[in-house]
Amino acid sequence: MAYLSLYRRWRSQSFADVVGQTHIVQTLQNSLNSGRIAHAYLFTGPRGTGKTTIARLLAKGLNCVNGPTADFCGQCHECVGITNGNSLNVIEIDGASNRGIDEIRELREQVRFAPTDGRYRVYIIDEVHMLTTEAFNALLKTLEEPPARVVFILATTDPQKIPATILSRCQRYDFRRFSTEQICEHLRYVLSKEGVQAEQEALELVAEHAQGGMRDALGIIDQCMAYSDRISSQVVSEILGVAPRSRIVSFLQALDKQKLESVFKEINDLYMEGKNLHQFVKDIISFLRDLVLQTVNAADLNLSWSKADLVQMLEVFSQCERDMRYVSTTSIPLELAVLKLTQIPTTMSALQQKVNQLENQIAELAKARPVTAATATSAATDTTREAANEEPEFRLNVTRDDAANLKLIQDNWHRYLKSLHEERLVQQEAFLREGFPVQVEKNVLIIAFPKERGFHKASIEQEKHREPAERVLSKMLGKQFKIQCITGDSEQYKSNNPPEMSVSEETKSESEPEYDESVNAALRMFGGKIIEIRDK
Amino acid sequence: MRLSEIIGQPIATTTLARAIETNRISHAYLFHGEAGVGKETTARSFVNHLLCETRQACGSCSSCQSLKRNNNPYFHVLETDTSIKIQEIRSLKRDTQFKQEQYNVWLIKDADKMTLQAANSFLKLLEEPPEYVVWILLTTNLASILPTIVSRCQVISFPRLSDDIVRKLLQEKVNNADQSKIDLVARMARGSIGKALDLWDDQFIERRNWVVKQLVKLPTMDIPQVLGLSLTWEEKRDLVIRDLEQMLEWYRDLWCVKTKATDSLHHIDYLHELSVTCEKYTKESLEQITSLIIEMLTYLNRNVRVRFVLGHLLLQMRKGALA
Repeated sequence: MAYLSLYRRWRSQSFADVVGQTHIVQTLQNSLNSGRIAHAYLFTGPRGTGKTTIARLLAKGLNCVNGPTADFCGQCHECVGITNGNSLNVIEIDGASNRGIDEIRELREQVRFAPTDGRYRVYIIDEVHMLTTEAFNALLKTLEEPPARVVFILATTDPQKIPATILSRCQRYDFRRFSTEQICEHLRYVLSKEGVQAEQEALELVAEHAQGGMRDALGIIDQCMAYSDRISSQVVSEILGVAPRSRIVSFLQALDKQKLESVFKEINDLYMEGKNLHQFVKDIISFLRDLVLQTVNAADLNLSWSKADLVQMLEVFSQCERDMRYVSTTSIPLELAVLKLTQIPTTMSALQQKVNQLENQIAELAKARPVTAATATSAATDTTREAANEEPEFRLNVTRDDAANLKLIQDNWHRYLKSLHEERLVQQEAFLREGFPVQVEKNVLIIAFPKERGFHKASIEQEKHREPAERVLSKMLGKQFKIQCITGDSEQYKSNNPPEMSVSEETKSESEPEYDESVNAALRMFGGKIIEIRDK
Repeated sequence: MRLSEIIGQPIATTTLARAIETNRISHAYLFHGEAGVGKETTARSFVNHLLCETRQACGSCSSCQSLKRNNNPYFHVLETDTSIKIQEIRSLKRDTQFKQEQYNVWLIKDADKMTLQAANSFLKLLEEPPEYVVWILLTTNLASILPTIVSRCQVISFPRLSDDIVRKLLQEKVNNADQSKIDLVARMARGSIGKALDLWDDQFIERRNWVVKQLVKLPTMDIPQVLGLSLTWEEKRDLVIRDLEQMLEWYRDLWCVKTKATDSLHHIDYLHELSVTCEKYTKESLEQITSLIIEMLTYLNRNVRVRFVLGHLLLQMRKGALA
């Protein structure tokens, strides 16, 4: 008999053996005991969380000679047959290999036959996410209304690849990753049965590395058992090729003391020992995270970083982790990250101090020098800009009075255009710049465009341009507003125009006659201001 | 070859040798590590032990003999030029379905070349193959293998060899007395004997010196010269990627010299040039240039035109230098 690896040997053989997943086990046990059997189940969850295992348990529960029961015997020919994978009534299909429509048609043919001597015919379709769309669709009818005594169990790691029509026909069970404690406990149990000694710390390391997959954890343990009689954290980190935590700490300590030489030497050592530097950086990141969250105390480890420093380091190392994917010599991005960190001369807190100092100086300067008339206008626009920055949700209070609302909107028209700009609705801003608000009727704002601005009017009337513009307007006014456009003569509304707008109009009309006809035509078409005309 | 004769991979070889001794042979192994660090050699040696009548890789029994002649019926190699497709996996399924009384090993090279469909259809077979079937998957890139595949295998990592070992192996293989070249190549190979041998034959050293020469000249070039350089650069993507990594090493060294950390320079043979060139850059510009090189490497991996990347990079490098 060939050796059977741990994760296969220790597959749970009864519901009582199953670690965790209580929400699923309980439900299935109850439904088995009460005889409320669904005809289609979908098991989803990450690798190594027990989907196939529980699917087989469910099949045993259904078909055991004492069943349907949650406490199946595990001795009868049905149970044994399922364990060995040669039961006639439990058909395990590899969905990834039999993924085409032909295989599903074949399945539909077979489904019609009653179970031989068992109670149910159970189809376990594993890796079901790999079925083709046609195959899924061919399965729909059968899955919804299979013949009596047929149960489908679909299992997959990728539920998002399964069509909604399949999902809605199944009872869905989401398997969770195992916690580190659950894995440790199970490993301890398995190892005690195998008669192998193990350090608690080593098991924790394995569990952490397994990332919630029990199969991964047992696989690593299997390997450790092959490598050494005793499972210590030393053995585990050698097998996994990761640096032990002590090295991360000493690395960070050297970095903190700005001892570049020893940091570089450590990087080189790790690299040459064949440690996975990618993993090392990930470990550093998770360690820094612990420091930020203060689950580990920085002071205990002689590290002098403030929270702001740590956050910055996290940023640099995360960038480094991304960079490593594209550089074949992975030590270089790490070295560059270190150089970058040592280069920042002052710590973040010192930098903060400096900023405060500068701010105070500016405030004093501003006090010392009164605002002169010449700078008043620019200062005013500055303050409006600042105000807009300070309160991004700039709002106007609308009343019931349409005329008052119109006035309000006209006065703040430039602000509206600006907020369009800030929302990156540059096109809309450009179109609306050519029109001006002329009337408000309840919640409709009417904007007039000069005759020659037909293009702008037509553009803003398009749904895709109008809607965002309306959204921003409504947000500003705190009330739903619609926009309507008309072609209007600007003259009749002239008196209502905002002052700066009428100024520009005036200058335009004054200067117009001076130009050539073609220039005027261009002006009408594109708008704008004439700065200089040059002959070719 | 016996496992005990393999140099430089103590953890892998001990694990496998002990697995054979204690008869804890897993049905699936995944060997990963850089190219040319001994994955396949180790795999073949492991197979030799497994199939040998004495389990010692005696070299004289009929099984060992047939392995040497490459016609052992119990050892199969799956190797494809392109990707490994679902058909190949289906034929594996066919080939393994008969009951065996002795170990039957399949070596799958470049397992990362499996298509998504192939990898998924392999899962069930990989997890629960018929008795006595052993899978050995090889890959240089663990990250591109499906986590569901990885989770089903014993993952054995093959770290880089130390410089000393590469030097020794290289010396044995090439029989060359040029000690300084051996030293240089061994260091450049970053722990891979396969890469060291490639470099030895390749025009690699000449290329490296050429790139360094350009980089030394760069800060004193004028803009048309820089553009000219970028236009005459050979436009082979693989080559340029290697050149960019070369540049990255160079600027890393410059930065080290700038910060007076000169213990672990890659261009120890260019110390003078390094110290002259580093005067041309500020620390900030070195930081910018190194980040830029990495960014350009990501672009090259995403099929951006080589010429654009080179032109932009060289110009920015020139711009970063002080007048």
